[in-house]
Amino acid sequence: MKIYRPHRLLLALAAALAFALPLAAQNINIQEHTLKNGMKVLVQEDPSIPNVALYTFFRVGSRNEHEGITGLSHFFEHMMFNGAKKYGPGQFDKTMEAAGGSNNAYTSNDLTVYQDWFPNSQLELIFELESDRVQNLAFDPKIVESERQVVYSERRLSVDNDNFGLLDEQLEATAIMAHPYHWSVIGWPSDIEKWTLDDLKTYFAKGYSPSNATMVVVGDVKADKLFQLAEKYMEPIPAHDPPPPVRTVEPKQLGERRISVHKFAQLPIIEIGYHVPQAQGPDYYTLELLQALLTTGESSRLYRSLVDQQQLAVQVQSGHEATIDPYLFTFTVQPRQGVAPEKAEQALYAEVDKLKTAAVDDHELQKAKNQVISSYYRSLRSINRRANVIGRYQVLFGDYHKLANVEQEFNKVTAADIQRAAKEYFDVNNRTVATLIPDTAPEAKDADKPAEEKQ
Amino acid sequence: MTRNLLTRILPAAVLIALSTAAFAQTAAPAQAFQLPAFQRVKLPNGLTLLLLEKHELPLVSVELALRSGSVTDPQGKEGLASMTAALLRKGTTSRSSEQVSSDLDFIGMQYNAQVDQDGAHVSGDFLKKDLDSALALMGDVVLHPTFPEEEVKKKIAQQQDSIRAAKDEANRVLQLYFMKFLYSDHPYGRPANGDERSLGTISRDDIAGYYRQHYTPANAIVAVAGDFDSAAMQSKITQVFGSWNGKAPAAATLPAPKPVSGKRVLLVDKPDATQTYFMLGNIGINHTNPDRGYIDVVNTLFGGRFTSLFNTELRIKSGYSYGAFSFFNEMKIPGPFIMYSFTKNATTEPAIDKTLEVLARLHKDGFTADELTSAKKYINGSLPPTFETTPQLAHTMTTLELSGITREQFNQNLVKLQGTTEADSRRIINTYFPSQDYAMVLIGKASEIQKIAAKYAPNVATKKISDPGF
Repeated sequence: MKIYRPHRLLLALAAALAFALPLAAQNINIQEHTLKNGMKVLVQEDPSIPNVALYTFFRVGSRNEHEGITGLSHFFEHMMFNGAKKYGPGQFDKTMEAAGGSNNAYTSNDLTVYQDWFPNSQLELIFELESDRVQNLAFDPKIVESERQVVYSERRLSVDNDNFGLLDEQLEATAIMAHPYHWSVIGWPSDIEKWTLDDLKTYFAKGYSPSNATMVVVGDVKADKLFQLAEKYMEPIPAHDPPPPVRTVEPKQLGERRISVHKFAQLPIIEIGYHVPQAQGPDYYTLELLQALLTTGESSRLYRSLVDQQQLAVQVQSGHEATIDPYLFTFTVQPRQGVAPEKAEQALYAEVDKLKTAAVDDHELQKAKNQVISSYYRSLRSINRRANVIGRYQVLFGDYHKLANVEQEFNKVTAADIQRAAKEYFDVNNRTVATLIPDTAPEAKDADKPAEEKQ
Repeated sequence: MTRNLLTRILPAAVLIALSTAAFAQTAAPAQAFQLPAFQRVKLPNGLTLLLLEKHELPLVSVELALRSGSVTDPQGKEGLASMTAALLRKGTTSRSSEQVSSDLDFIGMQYNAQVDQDGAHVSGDFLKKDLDSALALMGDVVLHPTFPEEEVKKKIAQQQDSIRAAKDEANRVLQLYFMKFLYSDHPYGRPANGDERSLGTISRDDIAGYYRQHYTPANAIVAVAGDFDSAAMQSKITQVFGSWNGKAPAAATLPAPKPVSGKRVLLVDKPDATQTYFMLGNIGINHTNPDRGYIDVVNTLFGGRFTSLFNTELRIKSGYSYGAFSFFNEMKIPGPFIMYSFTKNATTEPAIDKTLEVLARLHKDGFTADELTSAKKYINGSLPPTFETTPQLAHTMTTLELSGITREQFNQNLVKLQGTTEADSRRIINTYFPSQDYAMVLIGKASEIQKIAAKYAPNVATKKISDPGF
């Protein structure tokens, strides 16, 4: 019988702060165990519903790809459901659903995450299914071809036939020239068409070492029992080298970049990106607060100015993600019908510039803090979302213990920090602008059709 | 990028339908999950109050629902109920529109107002410590809105542009076209949020008049779930909503929708589409249909989960699509039964052929006892996370009350569906999954798929995506 070291995350530390949730504190103790092959297992016992969320985070994503295999991480994620040694093609899903479970998975620039949701009575079966595919994934060439089409259909849905998705892809590819965040997670169409079976095998050997994985289990389980199952099913899987480190560092941007996309549409879209640091770099929490000040809620500065007062935009949003390497802070504006995109763009800069010239007052800063902190607590209230948050803190922020400090980190941010960050990041030379310009004569553009649709 | 569409990429309209289905769907065998008990109180002014204590986290969710949905919009003024709900927060007798927003945001409250065919829902989600300010805000917007002329004009123009923007993405508007095409002039065919033209006819007087008629305590339900003491909460709700008065409006009487007999096809031309998005189906069931539990079991196997017959054929085996789903949107009177998928232009024909073949196969083969067992377990296992959080619970309570279903009846249905037999399954297939009669809507590139569309009905109706309306 092994002794496991329980690590308790005491959010009660935050009790002195504005949004202390002493009850939440009792619910967030996490126990930790590292298997001999390097896989880290984190468990949070929560019997409030008789279900379990079991998430496996592999620290591999489109960031670990190169030209020619863009999108392969995501394609691989699909292939993880298409048959292994004990459970052949289709059996993973059939077996899990017949046991009352369901699953999904997602791939980002940085991560590939497998999500299982199931009644607590099925714990051992889920381990059997997971260990089978992590250890003995098989690739049937016929399935590879049909899954390739599935992924292409997903690309059409989320990029080619979604103007926001399309513009997003073009903005990233323009703003990020050198680092692998240059391409989208779904991958370029020509790569989707040409990935090979060997690409998949090489990828599996590189990214899917247990030492590159963190398993997070939240729900009606006992940590001791869970660790025993992890030892039985996951520990025998041999470790190997993780993916090689990503060497390329994005060079500093030295001036504004602008692109346009002409496409059939009723309304234009403008997306603006600024380079910002990674999750573990400086200013993560400051940037989250900038996001709240600018676009969270109808009292936010950009909503109030662009959508409400000046009526220039249908909507305005911003995006800031926790990433391993430096990425982008983005603004997305959809101008109202008849409003020139440049006009909406200039109005956005005027508002953002106000944050550089004058400090936010205490009330407004407190509002932003209240928004992000309450939203953080909401993200912990279902076992599914909590498993996701715990895993992301472990893998992207480097240590799940940092969850205990989220409130403190937000509360530490001052009006001067906000002003300095706005000046530092929202600078014209650090900016890339992509504009989708409605084109009302799409038939004339048939020559530009993707190769696949021409045959 | 996500593997499975069901949980992520479905358009809002479809998601609403799915969540309704999932809510009636999730189930329980003998000793498993049952919806927890909640308290139901009628206040002297006619307001129905539903209270469910849940103490794990210091959070509270309130949902106020009205028994008046978009079916109460006068013909030609589609979107009136929806605009009225959207404008509640745009100024009250004591707060400007901007003040309401600042106050909501200062406590980090999530506030939402939306209207579907059968009801209006105004919800707030906040921290327990902000209970008093949150309730005061909800009371203020619901009881004392002023509907300033300027705000009305602004909101309507914004909504018109939102509809134009939505039409730039086929997936976001497909179900609106489908409902209109299936239900035709029936009130369920009208777009709940209006269209480019109907919104333009709505005045401030229309909104103020709609508000006076429908926003009354006898027409309303307030559900609260979260960390509170029920007796104390009842007195707080009474303080905020007790002085509200007014009679319930006459209940809308809706004609029974007429199922499509034969085959009807609508093609909506979206010239830039590289993929065809399609729905086909017919009139389905209402929320109290006694077969609804059996239907959930059968539809789970047919098109309600990843390994369903439909998704197996359209995605897993053929690679035609990223996803294929079917669902029954249970409504006050029979809502639609819908099969939904999409595929690249070049495989539009084989994918729709396959869809019809799947329907035919359902009738030919039915489902085995083992398959039925798998579906029952699946439904049962996905139940608890559906009722886990306070917004889910508050919404469940208002939806049950609007549907006229008691908690006991809800729980009984979950037990009943666990008894679905092969004979039940056969009867359900014959009764609720018509294979010869359907309405079908395709949004895609007409120049490439027009001829294909003509294969599925004697006459094909056509529209351009940029034409106003649905």
